[in-house]
Formats: sequence, C-alpha cells, structure tokens
Amino acid sequence: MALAPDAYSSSSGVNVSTLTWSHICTGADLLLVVGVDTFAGGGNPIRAVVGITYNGVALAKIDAQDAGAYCRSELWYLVAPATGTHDIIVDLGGGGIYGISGVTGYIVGGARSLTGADQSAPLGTIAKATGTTTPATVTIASAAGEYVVDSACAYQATAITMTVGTGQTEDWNVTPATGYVGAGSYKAHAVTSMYWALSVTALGWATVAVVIKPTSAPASTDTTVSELWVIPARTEPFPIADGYTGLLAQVLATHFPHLLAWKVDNGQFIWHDLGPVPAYAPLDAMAVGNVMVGGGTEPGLVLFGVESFNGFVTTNIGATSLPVAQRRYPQAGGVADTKSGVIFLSRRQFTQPHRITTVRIWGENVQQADTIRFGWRWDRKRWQTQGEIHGLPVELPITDTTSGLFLETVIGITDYQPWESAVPVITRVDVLPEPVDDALVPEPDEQIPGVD
Amino acid sequence: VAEWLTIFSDGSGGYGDYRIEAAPSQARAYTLATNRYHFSGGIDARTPGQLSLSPTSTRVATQTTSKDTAVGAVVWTDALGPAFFAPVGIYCIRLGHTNTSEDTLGTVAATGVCLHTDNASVQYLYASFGASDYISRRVVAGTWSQDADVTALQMDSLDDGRMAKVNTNGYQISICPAGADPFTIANWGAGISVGKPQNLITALTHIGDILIVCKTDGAYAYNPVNATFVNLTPSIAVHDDNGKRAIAVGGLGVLMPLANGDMVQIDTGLQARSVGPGINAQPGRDTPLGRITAICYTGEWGYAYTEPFTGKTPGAGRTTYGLGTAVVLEYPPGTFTDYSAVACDNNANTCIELTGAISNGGDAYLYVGANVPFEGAYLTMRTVNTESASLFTNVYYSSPGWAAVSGGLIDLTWRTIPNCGFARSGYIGWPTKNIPNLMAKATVNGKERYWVKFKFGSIAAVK
Repeated sequence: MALAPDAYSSSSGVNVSTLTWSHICTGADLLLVVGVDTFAGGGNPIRAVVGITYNGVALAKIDAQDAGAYCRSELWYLVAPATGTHDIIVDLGGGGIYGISGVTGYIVGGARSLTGADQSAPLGTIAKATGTTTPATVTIASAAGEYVVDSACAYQATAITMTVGTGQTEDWNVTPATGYVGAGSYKAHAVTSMYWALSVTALGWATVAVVIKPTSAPASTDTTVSELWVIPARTEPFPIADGYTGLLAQVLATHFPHLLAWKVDNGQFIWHDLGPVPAYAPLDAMAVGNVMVGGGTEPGLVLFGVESFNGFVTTNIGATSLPVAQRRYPQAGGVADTKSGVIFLSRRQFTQPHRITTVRIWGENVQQADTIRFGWRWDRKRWQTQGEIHGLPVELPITDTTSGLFLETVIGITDYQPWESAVPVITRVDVLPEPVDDALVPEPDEQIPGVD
Repeated sequence: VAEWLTIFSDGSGGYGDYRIEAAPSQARAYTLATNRYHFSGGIDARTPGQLSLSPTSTRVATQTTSKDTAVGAVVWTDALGPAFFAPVGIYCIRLGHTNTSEDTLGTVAATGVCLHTDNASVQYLYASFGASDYISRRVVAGTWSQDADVTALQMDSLDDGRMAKVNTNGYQISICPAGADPFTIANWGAGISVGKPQNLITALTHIGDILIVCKTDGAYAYNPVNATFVNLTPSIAVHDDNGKRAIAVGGLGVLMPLANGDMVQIDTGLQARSVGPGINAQPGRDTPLGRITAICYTGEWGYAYTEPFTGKTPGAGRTTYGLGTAVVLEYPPGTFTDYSAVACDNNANTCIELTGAISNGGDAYLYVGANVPFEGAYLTMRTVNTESASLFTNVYYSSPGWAAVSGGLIDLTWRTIPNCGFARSGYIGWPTKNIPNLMAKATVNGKERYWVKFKFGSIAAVK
C-alpha cells in the first residue's frame, strides 16, 4: 500500500504549558506525526516537550533541534493512531530546560497523518539543522515511495515569514506573534532536502525532518472475482488428414488473442481478422512504423507489440529488415516456415437443406509441394476435410456425410518453400451444393448447443 | 438443380473482402454490411483477386527483467535511428535496427508514456509513474532524467505544443502551456475536473489541439465556453476498462476501445459513433470478438489486438436462462457456497470470494458449470492476487465422474509464471480441444450442469 496524505491540523498558544487541538485520522496503516515549535518570549523560554498524547495514547519522540535560545523544533510520532476525531495534547511539563516552569513564550503545534505507512518500522532517516540565513534547510534523502515530514521554526526581532519549498506541501505555517513563525510540511518520493525560504535573515531557525516508509507491500492472497463467464464450446478440432493440426487448429480455436486490421473505406470502418497471436498472452501496447528491426538494411512496415506476460516483445508484418523467414508485408517474400498454414473461412446460409458434392480451387504460385487443405461443416457440427491437395487448379469430388442450412468452409495453405519470392495465393473457390431431403436435416438437439 | 456456388472469387466472394457481395442465386444472400467484421482467419484478402498468406506475429525478443504490463508504445527516432519504445514496469524497452535495450526508468512501475517537444525544441520521451514517483524523460542520446516535483498518471502532447497530464487523483487534468518546461511544476495549471470524480480517467488523447479525455463513463472534450468537459458518449455503460489504449488517429479523430469489445470513434467534428469490429455481428456465430487491448495505425491501415472472449459472453452467461452458468466454491471441504447469482450480474461490487480458499490451499475447489459443454471461462478480477504460487494445480471435468484435464491450463490471468492465476482479468481454459465433446452432466450442490472444477494449490513462498 502506497503512502498517502490523510489530514493535517495545527494550533498555537502564548505563555502556555500545554497545547490542545483536535485531529481527524482516517484510513488504514496510519501514522501520526506531530511537530511542536516553542519560542522564547514574554519572559518564558523555549521548552522541551515532555509528552504528547493523541486520544490518550502517548506519542514517541523522533528528534529535536534548538536554534540557540530563540526557538526549538521537535517531531513526535504515533503508529496506528485511532481513527476519528481526537485531541492532541502537548505537555511542556515542568521540565523546562531553561526555566523551572513548563510555560513557554509561544508555541506552534501541527500534525500530519499519513495512510499506508509501515506499521512496524515507519521511520527512516532522521535529520535536523539550525542556522540563521535563508533558506532554513535540512539535507535528507528518501527513496521513491517514501515521504519526508518536517517541522521548522524561525525567530527574528522583526517580522519574518517562511515560504514552503518547491515540491513540499505546507501543512501549517503559523505566526503567533510578529517575529515568531512555526511551520510544517511533507514531500513525497525521492527527496534530497527540505527547505523553507525566509523573508529575512533570522536570529535563529531550527528544523527537524524524518523519512516515512510505506508498508512493505507483502504479497496478498486477497482475491475476488467480480464476474465469471463460461465460454460455450463452438470450436472443434480440425482433423487434417495427415494429422497436422497446428496452425489451422489454432486459428479455429478462438481463445487466442487475435490481430485485426482495420481501414476506413467511404466513411465506414472495415475490419479483418488476421489471425491469432502465436503467444497466449494478451498484448497491452502496440505501435507501427517503418522501423528497421534486426539486421536488415531496408525499412518496412513493422508492428510492435508488448505482451503482458514476461514482457515479451513481438513484431509483425515483415519489413525487408526482418529475417527472410519473417517477411510478410508489404513485400512478397515468403513465409515463416515450411509448416505455415493459413486459412480462409467463409460462411453461407441456405434456405433449404444442402450438402456439397464437389469443390473447385484455383490459385497462383502454388507449387506441387505446397499443400492445400479444404474443410467444411454444416450447422456447427463436426468439421470434415478433403485431405491434402497438391497442385492447382483442381476439381475434387466431395463425400459429404452431413448436410444442413449453414455452411462454413475453410481453406488452408502450407507453403513448402518459404524462400520463394512469390507468395502462393488462392484466387477462387467454388463448391457445388445439392439439395437434400428434409429427412436429412439434423434435429436441433444434434447441433452444438449454445451457439444461437 | 445443383449449381456451382462461388465461395471465393477475385477477392470479393468471401469475408476477407470488405465490399458488399452479390447474392448467389441458389443461396439466401448473406450480405456483408459495412462497418462490420469480416473474418479472414489468418489470410490477407485485402488485395482483390487473391488470397495470400497473411501476416502473423513473431516473437523476436524477450524482455526478461520485467513482468509488468506495458503502458503504451511509441515510435521515436533517437540518436540511433527509428525505434519502438515501450515502458514496461520499471524498464523501458527500445527495439530498433541495431540496438535493443532495456533502460531502467525508476523504482516504481510506469503508468504512462508520450512524446513531447519543449520550448527549446528538444524532443523528449516522457514517462509517468502516478502518485508513486515524479515524471521522467529521455533525450535522443538515451539519457533519462527525473523531475523533482511533477507527478502524473498519464501525459499527452497536443498539436499546439501544450502538454496535458492526468493528475494523481485520477479525475483531473492539468495543462502545461506550449513552450513551457513540463519539469517546472509552476508551469502546470490548476487541476481541471473532468466529469464525476468517481469515474476515473483511463486515457488522454487529442484531436489536434482539442484534448479528449477518456473515462470509465465516456469520452470528454473540453468546452471553452464554460470551461468544462462535455461527455461525448453519455450512453455507454460505465466500466473500469472503457477507454484504455484510446489513440488519436489523425484525420479520423480518436478511437476509444470499450470494455464490451466495441470501439467508439470521436471524429473531428466531435461526433461519436460505434465503429468496433463487433457491430452488426451475430453473437455467437460470426465473431470471435474480444476486447481491444492495443491499437495503432499508419496511413491507410490500422491494427488492433483483441483479447479473446471478453466482449461476447456476458449475455450468454446469465444464470436464469441461456447458459445457466453456475459457480460454486467448495471451502472448507464439504462446504459449498453458491456464487452463481453474482457471477454474471455485471456488478463489480458483487464478488466471488476466493481469498479463504486460496489461503487454505490444497483442499479447496472452484466449480464452474453450465447447461452446455464449454471450453473455458473468462474471469473479471476485482481484487488481484499478488502471490507467486501456482493457484490451480489440477482441473477436472464431469465426464461422468471427474476426469483430469491433461496438459495444464491456458491461463491468461497470470502474473509472473504460467498457472499463476488471478493477477489480471483473463481467460482460463484447457489445451485439449475435445473436452467439450467428452463432458457429461453431473450434479454439484444440487445443480445439474456440465461442470469443471479447479483445484487450488498450496501457497508457496511469498514474493
């Protein structure tokens, strides 16, 4: 849990031995830091704080700094202060270091509560400083995620003010009388120093600062799921005749992240599914540009994506700067490997039950060693395939053991020689459907349920 | 009389081509509507007259030092030439021609990235870290420097030279004027509230010099007349993921992905319309659509990655009809808690509580059932787990009896290692594709369903 500011409060007094004010704590992993500045005046000296309570619980002293006999600044803290509104009571007691009574001339008290503080060892480095010239500053180093809280005071016989340093958030800045000023602030993250700009050189200033550490963020088993949706079965294995089910089956399986391409044509968005991402992980960021990636020398369009799992980097759409096996677009240049398959999925709705009897396929740049596979299914039932096809064009009889109203067909290509300069393409696919008797129409319960 | 049916011809007969096809004579016309999804399934059908092997992704580098989520990616020409940059966790990936590197950004994970040129016409790559640390920037020479007082969740550079940032409260933005140094806190204006505070900003983008702020409840544009932001899409349902990864696309305006898988275009006239890949799709039949998790564009074509399933299953999962999704937690052993009602209510505040079962480990099961065989489940996380342990050790399906799923899980909810689930919302399924065909109904906690039960593992050492 990260540190975060909760609330602040302050008060002041003249010729008093105690100071009381209320403070509201809210949140988890709370830490309360109280700063107290005492000033000599009216015949009463600066005082050391004897004790501070919040809701009756004693605070612990962090450190104190005197500025001669002019003023004194102290910091105290309490881990896990009670939430709600409670009084902070500062007791100067009778133990004055420059006098026998507990009365000080002027007193300024302020409090800052923080959430997300380490509850076992909330304090880091403690630093303090004193001086006369502006700024009133103390060197203290903190790390990212940590906070620094300070208290500062200054005295001058004439008017004096303090202005909080850049990046610091002022919590209190109180002038109980002309020439007396007490203030407190906090600053987040990587701090190197805390400072207050003085309006004039002081007779003395003092400041104390402390690093506050966040909770150590232990691993948590807290786990809740707000929604859980099942994915109905609607993709089935694609039984290629030779047992090769790699990429074709992957494409048909819809649980992979997909890469889409889109363009705007005549004001309309057109979307194409370019297939699944080979990795399982979703991609959380991507960019595209003419960036040469790898050892090539020519630019080309490259997609760059970052997976969320293990931060893998992927590229897509080969430029000529990519290795030959990875070039895809826009230049014609071969494919990833000899087992690369692609499919083309098409769908048709019939008004009467049909089955298919013949398929014709035309193509270009398809070598005899390249493999074409044709598959189909009716009404979301099991896929059927024609097996391997070599050489185009071709016309093949189909043994269709099923029939239906909704036809899906798929064409797969395996390019045997990826180094070929020309990419194999399919230019036309026809099927010959024929009507069947109504008796062959599958009963509804034979279909894969849940798809409609 | 049978007639030949052309299912593909000259790039116009199939879904791969975007043009409207003529109706075949013997089949009912399946008209391809515009603005809809055309499944070309791994093939490049954009060139009329041919189908060619389509581009597929290739993993060319492994970024091993960070396990976090990338917050964005940009193309930037630095001293070594054009390259891709992406902050991931505390590192920044650089992927270029001759140099692939990981720069250390800081000690906390980055939350945003953008390019910006300041008053000295110096180009910088900026990274933000939310409330945890101050913004950093990189010069073309490769050196990163960190500011001392400016924080931001995200940043964006407007075309008129101004820079905008999302303040750490999550619902306000601030502006740094053109020519001013974003590293000087005094240059940033006061926070301007965008919409309601409870609806946080998910992305910051622009149309020219008009700031477009994407929030969980819509896309907002600045109205200079009364100095307020106006919601351009007031009708969308609030969701924490709406607007994430929204981008400016030049003359097209802004594209804003939605949690339901759709995408909204804010055009240069600030008109909003749905243009996502799922529009007009027939649910459960046409589309394998999921939520768009990343998007980019160049010239004529743009590209997008989708996460599977997230957009299409909510309606199908309702417990009272349809799939009859049932979720039951067995913890402690023999004690069953039915979470079916909260599993599909689309309410982030009603949750399936797994904490006790995970802490217990070993003896707890999560049962997921449906009226139909299914091939996985999508989990929307409310509180993510930070354990490094393997949380599901075994999966069984009703067949009848309980049969083990072999080959491990496909788990998109992981954090650092496979099978370490619940670190993000995602899909959990199994690699054996024929399991739905083998499933049989069984009764769990009084409900007859097709069931799968996930066995929680024991907790390993805490990270």
